[in-house]
Amino acid sequence: MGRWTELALKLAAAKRLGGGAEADAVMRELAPLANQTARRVHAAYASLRKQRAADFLAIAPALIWKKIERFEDWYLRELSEADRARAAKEYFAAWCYVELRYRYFDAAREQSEEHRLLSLAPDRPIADPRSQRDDDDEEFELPPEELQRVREWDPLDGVVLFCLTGLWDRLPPGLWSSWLERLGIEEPFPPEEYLRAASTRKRAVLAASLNVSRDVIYQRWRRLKARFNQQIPSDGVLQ
Amino acid sequence: MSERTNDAVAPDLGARDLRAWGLGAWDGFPHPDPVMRHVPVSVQLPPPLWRRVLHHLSVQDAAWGAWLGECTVATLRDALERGLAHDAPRGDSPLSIPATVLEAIRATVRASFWQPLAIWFGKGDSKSDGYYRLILTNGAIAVLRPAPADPTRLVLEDLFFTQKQTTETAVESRRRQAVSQTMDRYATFDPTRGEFKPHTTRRSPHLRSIRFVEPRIWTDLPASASPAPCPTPSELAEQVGFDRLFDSGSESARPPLSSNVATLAAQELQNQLKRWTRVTTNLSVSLDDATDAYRDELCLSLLENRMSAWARFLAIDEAFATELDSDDMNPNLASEIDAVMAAMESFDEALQAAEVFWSPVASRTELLKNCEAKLAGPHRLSLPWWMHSTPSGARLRTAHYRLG
Repeated sequence: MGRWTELALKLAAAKRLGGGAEADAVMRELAPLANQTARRVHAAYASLRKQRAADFLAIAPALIWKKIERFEDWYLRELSEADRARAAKEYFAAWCYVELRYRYFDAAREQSEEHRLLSLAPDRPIADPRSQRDDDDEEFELPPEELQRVREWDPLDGVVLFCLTGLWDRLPPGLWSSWLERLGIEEPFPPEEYLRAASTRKRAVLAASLNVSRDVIYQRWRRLKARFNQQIPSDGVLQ
Repeated sequence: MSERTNDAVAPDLGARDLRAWGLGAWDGFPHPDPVMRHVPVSVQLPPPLWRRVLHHLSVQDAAWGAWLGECTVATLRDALERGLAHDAPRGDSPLSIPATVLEAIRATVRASFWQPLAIWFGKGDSKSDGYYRLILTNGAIAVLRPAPADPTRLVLEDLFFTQKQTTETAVESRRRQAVSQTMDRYATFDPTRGEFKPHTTRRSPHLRSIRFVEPRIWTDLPASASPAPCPTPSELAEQVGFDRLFDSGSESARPPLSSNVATLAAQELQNQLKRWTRVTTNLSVSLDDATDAYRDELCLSLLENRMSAWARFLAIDEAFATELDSDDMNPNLASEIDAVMAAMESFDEALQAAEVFWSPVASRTELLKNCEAKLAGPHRLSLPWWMHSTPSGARLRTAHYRLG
């Protein structure tokens, strides 16, 4: 039996008995293999970006700990006595790779979901001038279901969000004007003063322009942020 | 129609004129675009071309040496350094390139206008009327932009070798690489037929042009006179890795690397990854003053390097996985693979930080789409991060990096 396989079976047995110091000690021995395997999976598929990849590598030992009994079940169920007796064969290393690969794919799927809503992100205020020309070519794409949702928003919510994200001129024609009209605000909006304001002063200037208190802006922004971050769980899309 | 070279124009033009015109023009060339062959063209050689050539000579000296000869390259570099020096007295020290050097360049360009290995017409970033990317008979890339409203004048904007070619010494290798890279980047791969789609016709205000001179692309390459040299461990790893990425499970796929070859390939890959990381970190500086075609080259070569690293890692990792089951595991391979993964993480970090620069280029070319179309097996299930890149997403992420 290979060394890692032996440790894994020992860990599964200890976990069944309630964990404790022995399980911790075995887990400490197995953790480097879990880490290395997670890095191999990441290098082989490279789907995750930096922060998500770091998160995945950090939790790899925990993912293995969570599923270790399944390895034991598989080992006892699928392998014959002769297979188990093969001295050099590292069944656990191969199982660990497959298990972590599935978890890696899960993380990659979550990341893809995040991309779906990326178009609502506040990238315009500090967009790179080198790629400015590409801005003109790109459509601001809201999926149909998102678009319908945005149309039904409270106008003040819409104005606050799209001003602070710098995307007001990317809304479908007429929607921005209709929001402003319903709020009794004259175009062009946002005013020049807002456009020139430093990022730290934007909310205050917006509050003054909309004739509401800064607290209203703060509360609405916080609520909108929470609403989007429910769908964009990490990476802090809205700051 | 007569052809003018430096020698021919020198008696007629003063130093100031030579500065203004670079080194004059080459008249009476056939148009490189086959559908425009009835129009003889004049190739203009403007001063910025020589500044760019001077830059390329410094980073691609081996490829230029193989083309013109090392002594000639040294002479050219010396002439350009003197002629383009900021403190050169205006009018007293014209850009003077020895006639033999100019003639060597002219002869290759002229022959290539008749029989280019490949030609592609692109729009680039600048939204002008577009430019021709012409692969010369020696594998170098010539960038030619039609003069506004005058299809009989082509301005030679740039002349360079691709990043990958600069490590090749054999001309034939450079030729093949230039053609296959151009196809991968600009032609569209058809996964159902397993080949690139036939060329398409594009039109611009002043030119009828085609994307590719497709029948010539392959037939102009002569059959190899000598047997292919034995591949290096890196080349072998790349071949095996791309087999796994593009041809998963087929019988023709190459066998896994041996432990020793994988160890050597891992060592070579680490060194290359460190170099690529440095190049990527300096990308924004390199892009300054680059032509559209050279911007493509700088950006797309990063992605090609990333995919090469990906393929090679797969081959090395496959050997490592086999080693895990052996009684006497090669300890060097275990430590090398850790070092490779660390180097790949650094490269990825640099590549993600530079995404705002390369993503717009990648999005208007075919490289990533073609690679995705070729992927097989589990790698189709979860694409690598750079294949998801979009310019708007890149700007968002850059904003977040800057905000901390």
